[in-house]
Amino acid sequence: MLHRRSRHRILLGLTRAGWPLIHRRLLATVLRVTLVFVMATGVASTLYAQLRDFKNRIEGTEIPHGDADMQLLGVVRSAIVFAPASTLHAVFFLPTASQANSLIDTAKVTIEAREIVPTRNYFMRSKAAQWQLGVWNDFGNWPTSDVIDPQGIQPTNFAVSASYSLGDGSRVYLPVEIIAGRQPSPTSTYTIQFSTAYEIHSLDITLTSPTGVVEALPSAQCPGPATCTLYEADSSHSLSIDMQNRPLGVYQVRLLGHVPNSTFHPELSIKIYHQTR
Amino acid sequence: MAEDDTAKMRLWVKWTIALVWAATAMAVVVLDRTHISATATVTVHVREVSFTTDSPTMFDATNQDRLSVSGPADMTLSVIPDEKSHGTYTKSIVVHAPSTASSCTFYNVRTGPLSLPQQTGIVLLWPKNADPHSYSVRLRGQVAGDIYEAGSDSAPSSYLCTTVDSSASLSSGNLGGRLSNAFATTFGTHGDAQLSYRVRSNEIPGESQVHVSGPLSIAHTDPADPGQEKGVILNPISSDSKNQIVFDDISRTVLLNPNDLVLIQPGADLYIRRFIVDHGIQLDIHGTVRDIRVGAGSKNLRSCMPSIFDTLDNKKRIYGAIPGIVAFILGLFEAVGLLPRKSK
Repeated sequence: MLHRRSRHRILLGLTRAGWPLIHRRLLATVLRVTLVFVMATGVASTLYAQLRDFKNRIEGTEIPHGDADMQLLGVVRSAIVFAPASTLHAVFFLPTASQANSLIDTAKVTIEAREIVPTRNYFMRSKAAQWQLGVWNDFGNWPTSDVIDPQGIQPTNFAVSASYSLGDGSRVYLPVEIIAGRQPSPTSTYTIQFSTAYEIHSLDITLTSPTGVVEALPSAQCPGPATCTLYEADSSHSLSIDMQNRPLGVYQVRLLGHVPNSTFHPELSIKIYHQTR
Repeated sequence: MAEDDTAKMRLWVKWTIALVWAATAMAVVVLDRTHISATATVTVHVREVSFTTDSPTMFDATNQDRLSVSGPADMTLSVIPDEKSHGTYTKSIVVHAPSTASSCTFYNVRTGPLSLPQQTGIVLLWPKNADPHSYSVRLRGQVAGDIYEAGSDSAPSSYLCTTVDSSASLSSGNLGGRLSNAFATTFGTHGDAQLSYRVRSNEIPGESQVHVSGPLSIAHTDPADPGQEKGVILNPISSDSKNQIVFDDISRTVLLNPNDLVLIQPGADLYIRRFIVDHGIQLDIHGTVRDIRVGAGSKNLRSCMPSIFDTLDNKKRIYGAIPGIVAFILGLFEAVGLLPRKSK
């Protein structure tokens, strides 16, 4: 016959034999409660930087900060076309110091990719690599199965730039071609992809040659009066520049926007190294 | 022996009191930390909001001063014939944009509703350097729509496409002209696109009853993959309105700081009851929410949902009413003689 206190202890599970059972149940309960809280707060913890580290690049989603009046998104040599499960290669020509008329630090060569219309905030930046001067370089492998396919990034919404940094912090862009299982095209028409934070009525385009000759290219303009808008605010656009039969070297492209009902002129000025295939 | 029983009794009472305290404290902590779905009304004035919807269409037919479609994958323009198309007259031009950096802008037109795919990620955006009633819609998913001629002699319906391929030209480039009313201009977009609207000046653009089927973010972000957000809440446009979240069940109000980020996990019946575009996007959201997180930054988001404890605490009046109801019933029974009389 058990003592009354012993009966109470058995009912409460406090016998020596009962302690392990109590511990296991207690531990399981604590773990369950912890799991629930972790899951409940998990939504906040998904708000982390989503750039993933790969061997030759960082790639993922990142919010582009900053509200530049006009921002360069990419400079490409041909339309970007690729299918899912492709392995991309970004091909670009890196000039020698004499060709570019400046010292080139191969450690400061960068390839970047982003969306034209930012619906997923995709971003890719290459890591430092052993680039070769005076030849065509190939950045890859860049499998779309890592980030591009899972994120659903469309090739039609893809902007890519390759560039090297000058000593003064400015950059020279190297028109890049995205190759996914096909031969490079010999085209010398470059497409400049850019975004504007302002409404634009018309866009003046000037091209300065390596020898300093300034040439006004055909401007893009809204056909209506000065209040007419060609490009909407916070939108992305492109323009093509035919570089065929032009001498090789570093060119300066200047885009000067005219804002309806305003004297403000948003501006984008970039340097491009022109090289034929 | 009696003293021994008294001592045991006291020990038992002590343990009971301690256990009751411990259990109550634990229950309060758990109930206070556990959030359940609640009905909420969110009114907030923002520059940008992103969400996912399963609504098949969006936006009523509206007269537009301007509509810009970026990345039209497949567009058939109804145009007034001219000789620009390979030297022959044509009433329609087929346009294809190689990328979303190409666009077609339409002036003085009437737009039909947008047809959306089953689940569409949407970013509504009020460009800060644009007209007070201008807005843009960034869409994840192919959408389609119609555009109708709605011009006048002084302001004819016209179009301008930049860097597009078209049936009117052998090479890609810009294309412009006047729209015809012979038939509707139709367009479908690539998988991602942006549409920018500027409605006629005497109209205030907006939309109502948009079902929210995925996370809704009031921050500079995108619907499915939040990252390092930036605040987009604007000051209320009038002194009557406030940026706030009201939990209808418990009448609790959470005021929002203009620099806060807000992330809403919708329940089954969350709707954007109405939004209008007027110096920003004025949102009125109502329905069931599974969670609402508010914070100063992406790592500072905290749930502002009412806990089970708050819900029970709000119902304390019901608990107070129970004795009153019992007393009323007892009094009623006493009055009709259903209760046994006290024996003398």
